[in-house]
Amino acid sequence: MSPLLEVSGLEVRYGGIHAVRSLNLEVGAGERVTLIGANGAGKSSVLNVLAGLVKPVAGKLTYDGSLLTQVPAWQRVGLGVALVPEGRGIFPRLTIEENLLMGAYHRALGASLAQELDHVYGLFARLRERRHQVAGTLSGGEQQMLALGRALMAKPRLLMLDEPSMGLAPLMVDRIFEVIGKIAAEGVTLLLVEQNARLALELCDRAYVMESGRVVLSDSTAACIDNPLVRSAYLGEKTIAEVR
Amino acid sequence: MSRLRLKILGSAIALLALPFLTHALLGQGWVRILDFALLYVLLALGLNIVVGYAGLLDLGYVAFFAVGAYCYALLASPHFEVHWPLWALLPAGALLAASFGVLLGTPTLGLRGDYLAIVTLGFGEIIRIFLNNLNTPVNITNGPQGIGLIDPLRIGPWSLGETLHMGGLEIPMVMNVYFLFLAGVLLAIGLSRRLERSRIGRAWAAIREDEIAAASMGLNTRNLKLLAFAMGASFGGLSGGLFAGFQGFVSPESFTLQESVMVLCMVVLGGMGNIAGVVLGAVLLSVLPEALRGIGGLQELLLGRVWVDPSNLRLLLFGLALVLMMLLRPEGLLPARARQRELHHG
Repeated sequence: MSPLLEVSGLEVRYGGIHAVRSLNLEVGAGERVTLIGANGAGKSSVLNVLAGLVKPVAGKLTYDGSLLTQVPAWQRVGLGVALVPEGRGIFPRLTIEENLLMGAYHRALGASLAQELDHVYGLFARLRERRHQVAGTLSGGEQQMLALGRALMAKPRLLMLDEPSMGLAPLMVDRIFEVIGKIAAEGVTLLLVEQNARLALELCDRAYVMESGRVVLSDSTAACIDNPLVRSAYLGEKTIAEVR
Repeated sequence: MSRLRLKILGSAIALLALPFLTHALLGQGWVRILDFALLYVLLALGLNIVVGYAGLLDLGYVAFFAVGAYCYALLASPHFEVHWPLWALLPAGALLAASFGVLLGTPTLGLRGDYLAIVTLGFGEIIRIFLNNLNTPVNITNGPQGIGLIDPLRIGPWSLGETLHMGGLEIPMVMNVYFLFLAGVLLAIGLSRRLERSRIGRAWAAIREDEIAAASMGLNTRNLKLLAFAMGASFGGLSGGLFAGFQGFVSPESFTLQESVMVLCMVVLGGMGNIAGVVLGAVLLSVLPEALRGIGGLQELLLGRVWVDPSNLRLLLFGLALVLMMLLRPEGLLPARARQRELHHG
């Protein structure tokens, strides 16, 4: 069976900066895949290309058996490709419910979204309580929940998450990752970009490690966790237990 | 009767009685000022769609006013010997302005904030300079002389440019025009309200708040921005057509950058994104400079003679009022719901 998403020979440049170099990547339907790497490695660029926000210089994107490269950003959501952007990107002056409704904007006018709203409110009870409040008044963690919920409103098949742990308290990060796990368990395919490599490796099935625009390693997450190179570069050389 | 109905009835009576009261108390000149205020309200409502709803800073908005005015002037004057009826002229002006809106919008899609402001400013100037120079090799706009003898606004058998006699009641031109302009303003308010609460209105708000996030939500940001430019421009075109028919004369002089800035001030001072605020801002800023003309008389009364030339003092006080307003109420006189919510829950 061909994978849900296939990227080959992807090149991204911003002016003189070569952000992504001949990148190949595959995500199978229902799989949980993570892209890890340091700041500026090109992880976010890959997601932005997939969402259609950045035009690549070269490369072929295949999604669900058809070519995605020429499809404009606003049509990709309808195909089931949803992005939770870095820094959350909520609309601070709209209410929580209005934010969520924006997530399903591609749906036909007048379509009933009650079921989708219920689903999201089921995952995040806090959002239901505050649904008529403006989103700018939420805490960072709640805003991340809102961004996640908003992406779910599109009923995505491929959910792309860009640094969901960014700037959040550890407890909140755990809570967010728990929900991401739940979403994946419902059959949504995940492509997760994270700097917090440990969390990402624990959640996902397979990982790509990026360094200065290139994939330098791709393997199952279990193998990555055991890989001494990954351990020293991304997980800290030694665990606390080993130090003792 | 419900409170809402009473309120609507009250406003209707007030709006209908206003020109008669003004005429009786302040004279015909002030009814004329009211007419211009209504044209400014129309302009401000149009710019509010672009700046207030979609968050696109446009400093060349007067260009659409000019397009509407010249459209009317060229199609209803001896210049080309064409005399279209009003019901065709006004939509034609609005449509032409809307297409100019798309023309301006297309090359500026990637721009925001200061950069967009500079390009739109240039666009406004280009339109004015074109109007100034399109008299050679083929005389289209008649250059700096402008176009005169424009057909007055005429509805069926009634020419609004003359005093109408209705059952013993004499209604002068300035008042006829008031009612036509009022109808235009009410139409624009109705449209703005519908747009604001629609899916499109919400999408504009999303683009204004975070364009990248909006694009990743599957919003066609290109078409939505072009739609904002076109809708906003069409109000400007309508206002321009009414202006041309009212004045009977148009020339490039009426469409300077100063007008664009003035309309923007009305929107910002009144309360960006809020219809009532924008209307209030437009009325205040178009009436205030006229009211300040009375300063000469006031000086004589209080100080015995005119110390400072009223025309200079007038602009000084106007500027001072703007500065004070922005310092004391940066969100505008009647801020938009979303801004208010933010301030109260913040």
